Amino acid sequence: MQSSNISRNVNGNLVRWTAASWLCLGVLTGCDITNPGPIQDDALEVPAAGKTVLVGLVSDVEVSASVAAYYSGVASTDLNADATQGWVQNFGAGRIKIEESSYLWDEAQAARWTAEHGIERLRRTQTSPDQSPLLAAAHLWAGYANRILGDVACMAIFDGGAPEDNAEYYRRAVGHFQNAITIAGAVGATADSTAARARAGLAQAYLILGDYPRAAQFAGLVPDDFLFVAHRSGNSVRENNRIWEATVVSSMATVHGTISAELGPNGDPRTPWLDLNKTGAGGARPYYQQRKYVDRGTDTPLAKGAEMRLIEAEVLLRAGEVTAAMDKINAVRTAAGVTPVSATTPAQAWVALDRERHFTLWLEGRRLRDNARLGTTALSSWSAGFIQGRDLCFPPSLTEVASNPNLEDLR
Amino acid sequence: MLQIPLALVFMTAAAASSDAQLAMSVVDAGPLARPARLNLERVPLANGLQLLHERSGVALAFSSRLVPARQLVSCPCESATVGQALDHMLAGLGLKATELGGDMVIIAPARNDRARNPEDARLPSAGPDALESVRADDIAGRIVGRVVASSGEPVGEAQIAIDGTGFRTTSGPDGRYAIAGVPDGTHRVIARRIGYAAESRTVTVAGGDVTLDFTMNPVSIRLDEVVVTGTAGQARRREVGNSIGTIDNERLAAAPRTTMSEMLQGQVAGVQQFANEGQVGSGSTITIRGLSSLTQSSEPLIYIDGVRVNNATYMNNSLTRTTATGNPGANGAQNSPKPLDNINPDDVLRIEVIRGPAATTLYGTEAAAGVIQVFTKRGQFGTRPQWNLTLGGGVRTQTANSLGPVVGKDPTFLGLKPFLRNGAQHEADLSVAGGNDVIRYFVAANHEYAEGTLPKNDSRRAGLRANFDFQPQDKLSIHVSSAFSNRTSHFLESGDNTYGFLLNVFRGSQDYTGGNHAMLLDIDNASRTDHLVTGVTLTHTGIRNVTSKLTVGIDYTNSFNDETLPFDFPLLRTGQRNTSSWTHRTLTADLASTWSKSLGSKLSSSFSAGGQFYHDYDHTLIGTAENFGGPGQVTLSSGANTRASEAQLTVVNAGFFVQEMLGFNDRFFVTVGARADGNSAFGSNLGLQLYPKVSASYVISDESFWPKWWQTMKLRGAWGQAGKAPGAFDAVRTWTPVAGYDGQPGVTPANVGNPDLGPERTSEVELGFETSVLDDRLSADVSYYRRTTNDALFRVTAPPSEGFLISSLRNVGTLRSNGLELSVTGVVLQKRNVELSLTGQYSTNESEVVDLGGAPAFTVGFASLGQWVRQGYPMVSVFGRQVTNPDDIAEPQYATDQYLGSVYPTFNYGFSMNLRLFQRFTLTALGEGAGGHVALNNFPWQSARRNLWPECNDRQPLTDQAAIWRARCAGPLQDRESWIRPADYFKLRTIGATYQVPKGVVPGAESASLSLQIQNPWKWSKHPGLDPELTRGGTFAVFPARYEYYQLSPARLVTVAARLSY
Repeated sequence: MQSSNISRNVNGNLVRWTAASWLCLGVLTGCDITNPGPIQDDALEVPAAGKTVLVGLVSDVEVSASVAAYYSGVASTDLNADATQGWVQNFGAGRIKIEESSYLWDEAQAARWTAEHGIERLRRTQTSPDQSPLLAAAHLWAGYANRILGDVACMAIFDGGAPEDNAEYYRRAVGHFQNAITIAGAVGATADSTAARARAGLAQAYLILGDYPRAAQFAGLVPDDFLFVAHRSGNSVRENNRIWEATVVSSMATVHGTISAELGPNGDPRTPWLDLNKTGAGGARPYYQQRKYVDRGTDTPLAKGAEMRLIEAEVLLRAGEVTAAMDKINAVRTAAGVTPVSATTPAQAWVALDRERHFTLWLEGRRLRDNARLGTTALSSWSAGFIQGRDLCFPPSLTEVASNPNLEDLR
Repeated sequence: MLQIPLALVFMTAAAASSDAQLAMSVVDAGPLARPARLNLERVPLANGLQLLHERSGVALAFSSRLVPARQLVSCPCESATVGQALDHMLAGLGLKATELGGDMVIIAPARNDRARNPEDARLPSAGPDALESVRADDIAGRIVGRVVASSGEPVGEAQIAIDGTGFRTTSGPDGRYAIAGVPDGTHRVIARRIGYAAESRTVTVAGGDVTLDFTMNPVSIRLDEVVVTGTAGQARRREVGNSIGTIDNERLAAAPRTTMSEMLQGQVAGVQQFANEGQVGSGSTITIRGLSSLTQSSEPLIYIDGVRVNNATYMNNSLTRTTATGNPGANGAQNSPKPLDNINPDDVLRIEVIRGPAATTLYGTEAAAGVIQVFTKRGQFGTRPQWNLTLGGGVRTQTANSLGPVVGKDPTFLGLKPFLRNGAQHEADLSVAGGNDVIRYFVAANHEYAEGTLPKNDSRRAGLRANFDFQPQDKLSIHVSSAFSNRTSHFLESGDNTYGFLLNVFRGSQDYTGGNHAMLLDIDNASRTDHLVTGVTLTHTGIRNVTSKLTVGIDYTNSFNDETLPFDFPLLRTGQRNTSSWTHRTLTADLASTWSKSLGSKLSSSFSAGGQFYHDYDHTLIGTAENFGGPGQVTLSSGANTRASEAQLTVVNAGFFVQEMLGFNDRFFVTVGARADGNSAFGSNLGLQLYPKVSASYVISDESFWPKWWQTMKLRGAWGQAGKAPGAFDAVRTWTPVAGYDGQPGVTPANVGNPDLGPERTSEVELGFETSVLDDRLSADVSYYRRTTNDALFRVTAPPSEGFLISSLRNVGTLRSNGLELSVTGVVLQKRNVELSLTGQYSTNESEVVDLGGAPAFTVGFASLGQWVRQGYPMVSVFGRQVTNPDDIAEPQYATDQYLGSVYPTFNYGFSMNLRLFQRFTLTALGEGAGGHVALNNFPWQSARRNLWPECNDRQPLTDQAAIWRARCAGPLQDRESWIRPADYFKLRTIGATYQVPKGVVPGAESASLSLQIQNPWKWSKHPGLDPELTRGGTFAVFPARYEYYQLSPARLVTVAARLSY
């Protein structure tokens, strides 16, 4: 009898238990899971997230600067390729294919978008955006993001739009730099450094745009010892200096066969390198290791006083003032600890200026634009002599071409 | 504790064998609910029960003291269930039938306080003696004899019946049987057993004993075999409208015994296992019918005893290091263990494989790539403890053949030979199985140590398994399955890796070590894994023919990987340590109920409904330390600079299904069903997803018009859908936290998000047949499938100028694949001392990207590999420059962007052989091949660039060579594409020999055997590299791209093993 009761109880319990299990499964089916980790978009739409948004966009532009320094460095003869990777080899040979352009194009474009998208978000979320130091800084970095793109990209494309002239990057940069200066002025003294950095950016942009008076004007506002950098760090892989990785961690890019190599390892303190008595990763060239970036955390310069003096020199040279221009150039050389050079003709002065920009801006992602700007226009016979047959800018990446409906002609 | 008086057990082979054990662990219609298919008129009750058992497949256990065996009974039970038939036959006897669990029914007194006579508590084995004791005083005549196989071995559990009567019995373990009380006259006696062709003979009884022996021939079509995979519960193979690949004990005998992955090699048509890497402890890749997705995993779901387990490879180590170009994970061991390989192969009883959505519908959103169910061994009721001990050992070597056609020919193996060694291998397995009327058990322990052929590569695995089955209550059975394993593997740095051992060795002095390759042996890499799979299945039967089953289980893994570059390591003097700790947990809750009923004399119905809930959780901690203060043992804390990262991921999938199976005349079956699934990874705008299915099978050979010489023909067809869910974050717009200047927190765009994101939906039509001829000695299983994936998840990249560089998933594509699968098994030779059976299989897989849905063509893996997803081409195709004048003695001419071939094989084939000699020797062989695809030869390409590749060095001067060789060998910038070459291969996976030691030679042993197996004895390949199956592996495998890059070939392994049973 007892057993029978147990049996009935068990059966009854089982029926109830089965029903309950079905119910539980029904409830669980509707489970909504939110995973930790990635930050969801809505979480950034608050004033308190403004600093995070700014740091993020700055970080992206800094990455872009480091990437540009490496890839455009290899592509522009700052460095020579001796890699096991085909695209690095192609860059080194001056071949920049659409399908290999993504390594630079994508990072630089994402940085620009993030910076400009961050400006929009900060305008929405900050209580007094026109007096916000965050917004001033965002404009500053958006300006440099555009300047970096201008220095390496063949054409300007914004937010999936139609291709425009490369100069649009610089025009856009000018707008951001001016906004940065305006907002920084409203903020006050605490934003002075932002304004100073923006002025240096304006000098760079106006030079490329051919507005030489303004280029000289803003360059003149920047002191000799000015330095503005994209910070690099050993804190994470993303923050590492890319040239350091490619030349110290591995040996994909060598100084061998470049202009700097001709000077010798100690020929110019601004282009240091070391013969490691081995070949590069590709096994094809002696491996001369660059020593400008000796640590993974070595910063990548974005603007500096010496460049401002060379901008002034170029403006003078364009005005036919060879002597004054050479004075500016030699001032830079003296400050760098190298002997002055002489030039009596404009052609000689252009070569001197071209070489000086090369040594001053070496491995800073600037040479590709200078090759195109000075070499192809016959201003400098020096760079004109070694850029023959080389691609001088990065086309839109394969991804941009494939996904942007305005680029069907490039497919 | 219940004590059940039993004296007789009528069991079919299926019920008493492994299939019955399987049946205990799965949902069943319940034996009492099964069709009786019986029509008796005045036969002795014992014979009636026996016939009922025969017809229904249900094992009946009863006491000879309680059941009046001689009482004549009638039962017009053609359309009744087993329960109704028993009620009819036992009416008025004070007996009632209750389910004991699985396929067994016990007949006992109807009162609850059952007899407790200790003598009745014993469970004698089935057989003629027991039957004889029932009916000893009623003997009119007796047919006695012995059933043996054509090989001479006794055949137990064979059913012996006098045709047209209720007289029947079952042979004992020694093959002997007896049928008592046989009336005088001439009778036709039939012997049947699953796995053998039926035999019939005529005998004349004239009182007394007459001897009638049977010799049975094995067959391979087993339509009454019970399968569980792809069905709502269990089903006989004849009822299933789709193909099911089964790997049973006999098939496993020829398989490699070292890992579970290897056991699957060449066993089931359409299933391919890629070795990936030859270092011991490495994981592999398994695909069924090729790729099922281009963005999600194409590996099948894996269940072990009903509990879902992680089917991916474990995270490998060295996650935080980078190449010069910033690609993470390019260093480290690049080897990841596979969870499936934590199972001890000796614990496996049987494996079932279903190959596509036509069969996997009931598994829902994550089952488009197929399902593999592994069933482990269990004890049996009424058996004494049986101890099994296996001791084995062997040696693993790299040979000229294993290292490929070019490296193998070089006297120094291109510099590798000085580092190679003979790797030791040994294993020990001990298990005990048995059971009584209350509990069954299988408990096993194992230990295996494998040494690689390169220094510092080894793998040690230890495991415990405990499987228990309880019967605490008449209608309730409980099955517990638990296994724990611990595995520690050490690796050399591998693959596309600055510190990769083979990469540096094969580059000679033009490497990263300056030719001092031995320094790389200072790097330590290890993976340590604790893996627990445990589950409980409760099966409740008997409430109005409804059987319910609930399985609750957990798959838990903790894997710790570390890589240490010691202080003063020449390439990084201050040292570095990378670790990853990965915890994975899958919770399974699976509830299903089946209601079976006969609908008239010819129609049967089985309605099932159920729901499943799966909860996956991953937790990853990654740490890096650099700049050690000095030499010695280090931890992360030893570094002056440390970095860490953490990730957590939870995915929930839950759904319901219903299924109705209608049977007509036990030969025509139609099944319809559907499943509704929800998944936490779906977009917020997406609700439950519905996956329907329909299938039919027709055993046409059961029809009267079917010719007798054509023993079996089952036609089948199935259509069904299954899905493949996106990843946990794919539907959400997210930003990734990044560190800015001075460690300040920032965010950068991550995933653009898609609220409409849903699963891939794959539909599949499968048509086929299973047939046998020549007295079932030749059988074939043929399937054709056509699979279409709509809403295929493609990574669609927005223009980079819109900010989000990481492509996001969109349900935009259409994929299609079709193929033919043929499996033929034949008993070629069958003599007393020689028996030879062969199995061959061939499968094709033609895939096509039908529609990219507006998404641009995209590369998989690294862009430079040239492995593309393009409309109108196979799912992963290689494109690149092609030499248009390959055979001309001229400079190469090129055509750009040419289709160069499929990355995945378009056909596979295999064979297995089993040759038994003199009843004691067994020789086995297993081979497998694939072709129709190409491989990128990175290793030869890199060597050629350095003038180190013999194929180029032997062709100097190149001016005398054909254009293709000039392209391959012309200098440091030669085309990588010219090294894309056919990768067809055939591999003899194993050859083996087993000697069955005569009884008595080993004192006390019930059986003993000695075996020799050679794994990977020989291969042939068009691939000039080390091995055509190699690819970059581990977590940073660039799936679905495949490319070798200095992975090691699988080695030859020679093992000997002794197996003892007590």
